[in-house]
Amino acid sequence: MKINAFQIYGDNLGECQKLCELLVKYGHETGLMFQELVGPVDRPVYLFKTEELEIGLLPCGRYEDWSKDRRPFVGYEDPDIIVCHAQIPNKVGKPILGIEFNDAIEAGNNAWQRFPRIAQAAEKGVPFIYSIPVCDAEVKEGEIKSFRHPNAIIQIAQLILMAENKTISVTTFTDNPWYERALKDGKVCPKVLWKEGEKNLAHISSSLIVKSAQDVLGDDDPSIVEKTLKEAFRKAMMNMLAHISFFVDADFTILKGHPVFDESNFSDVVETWWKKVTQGIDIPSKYRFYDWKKEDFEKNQLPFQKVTSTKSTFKEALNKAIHALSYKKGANEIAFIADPKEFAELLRKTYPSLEKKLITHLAESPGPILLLPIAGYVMDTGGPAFSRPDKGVVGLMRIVFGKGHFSHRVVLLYSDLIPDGWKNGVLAAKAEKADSKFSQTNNLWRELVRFGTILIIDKYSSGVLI
Amino acid sequence: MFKASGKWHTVYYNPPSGSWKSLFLVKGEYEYRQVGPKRGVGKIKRPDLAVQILEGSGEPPVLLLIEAKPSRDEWDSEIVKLLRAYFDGVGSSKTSKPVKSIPFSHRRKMGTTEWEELKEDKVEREWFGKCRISYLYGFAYSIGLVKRDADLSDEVSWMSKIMRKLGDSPPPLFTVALGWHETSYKPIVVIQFSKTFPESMRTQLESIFKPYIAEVKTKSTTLNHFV
Repeated sequence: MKINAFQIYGDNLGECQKLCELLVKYGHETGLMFQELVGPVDRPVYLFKTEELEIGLLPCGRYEDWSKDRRPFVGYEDPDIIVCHAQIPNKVGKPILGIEFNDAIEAGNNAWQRFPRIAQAAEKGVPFIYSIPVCDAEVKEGEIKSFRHPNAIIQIAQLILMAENKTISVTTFTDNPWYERALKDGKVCPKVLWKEGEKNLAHISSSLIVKSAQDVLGDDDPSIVEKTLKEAFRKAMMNMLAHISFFVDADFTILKGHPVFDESNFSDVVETWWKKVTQGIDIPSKYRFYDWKKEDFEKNQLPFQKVTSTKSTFKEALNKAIHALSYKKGANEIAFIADPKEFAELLRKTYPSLEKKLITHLAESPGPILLLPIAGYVMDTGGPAFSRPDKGVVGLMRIVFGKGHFSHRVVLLYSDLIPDGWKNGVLAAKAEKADSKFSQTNNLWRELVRFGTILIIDKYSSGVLI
Repeated sequence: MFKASGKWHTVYYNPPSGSWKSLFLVKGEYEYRQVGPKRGVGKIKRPDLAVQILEGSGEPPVLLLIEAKPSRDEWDSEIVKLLRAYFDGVGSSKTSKPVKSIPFSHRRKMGTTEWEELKEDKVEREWFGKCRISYLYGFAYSIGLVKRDADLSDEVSWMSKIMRKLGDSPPPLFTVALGWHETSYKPIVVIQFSKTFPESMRTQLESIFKPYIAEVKTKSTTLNHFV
């Protein structure tokens, strides 16, 4: 019997082995039975079998220990894990699954810092599992500061990713010791079955591994694995929908009351999304919450309530004026500008050196204009950073709002740390091809050029049409 | 390897993959959880790996704190002091609160999955801070790929040298060089203990590493693990 080999690459060997251990523990429930460990003690091969197949999982350890042509990419960011199906000798296997493990819920807009890697995997058609605790507490030196819940916008964005890219992208919720307290505090959805989270992750993973092996052999009955995959997908989706439904009023007010998040529709929604990811059948219009209309924003210009931006370095005058137009006080990462002409005039006055063609371009927008003001290259604490939260919010907004419906998307970037040569960085990011080796520019620029049609840099009173 | 031995409990290991902030200590039949200092501010250092000996876990705990580096050149004689300060503190307001000063928030019976919160009136929250803890230390570094008949005596000499520099009463420290055979990729280790390292613990660690310990010829004799 030929062994089907799968390589598991990751941030480190521990995370690669974490997935293997979960498959040892739960894989048999979906027909993937663990047999033995073979090879070196510090880097063993995990041998499994199904009724028809033998499957070997090789934890390959850190991405950085491999040369670029000997390791997989599912985008310009690496998730914690990429599982590859090795099919050709001496070649990196085909990525069949990406996983992001989190053992804590991040604060503020850090919550979505890892989102771009989820999006990039989906855009390459690679299934993805985002694993996160069902709740958490911020504890400093033994004192509880607050309880947290995972911001539901990530799960909402995953629904969009699946609908747009015809691939699985789900969240699995895991245990957290603060569950009882968070429940009392209203920071956890009581209907999410977190006790099954790791098992659910293992079932999706094992089903995808077996399915990939079967697809290559082509002569086995695929119905069993499709059934296990569908059941694991259903469980993950039911938890995601319950979680979104519980927090949508707080996390994404614009979607309050949408039929996708109505519990009586959940089974139908799961079936609809399953048909989309497996057969490409279109989502019916009643569930296409992501087909934004102008009216959506006229009646509600505050899409999010929870997360504040990296604390306002927004220029006072402009901030006040945007506020007057639509950018309300506080907790938004994004604004919808109803009057393009007024906005263009405001920008002209605030940044007199902006090129005229850019102002004209904005003024001619049919509206609404999507405006994303962000403080880049800084952390919430004010220190310089690699901008993970910044690129996170840009990537998230790109997926949620960036496609089609807003022809004019403006990013207003505030930071004293933006390098002189920023235009070169933008152009390099713009020119970068999908198969680039990703060494020319940084990930903030990459996200900005994919999201925005106009970029304005506050520090230099300068901008560029992208 | 520690975990597989069944004799050691993982208190903490450094991310990625390990927990960013939780520490897990054992007393009797319970495992206690604490949200520890995320990183050391001031003159403390969070170890890369902390393990607790399970034998006699009802007694004051014995903790082994290990710092791992890519190269022996990164050895710093202050490491022992800095690692201990993460747990015990240095008595300065400018430094993060140490593990000892932070109460436990949860406990669970060993082998179970459900955590029980320890409310503020539970005296058990403070047990670790009231214990006299025995600390052991480890310094691990990589030597990469090793040829079949490589001469590793230089590692032994280096280990001996740093142990001597720690003086007549060195801390209970073991140093371990980790590599892989060039062709088989089987792990290979060179290991030494300071003379203050407890005999019983040395035996335990040697039994864990035994299959991989390199045969190293020194000038006079085969490697003596004690310096």
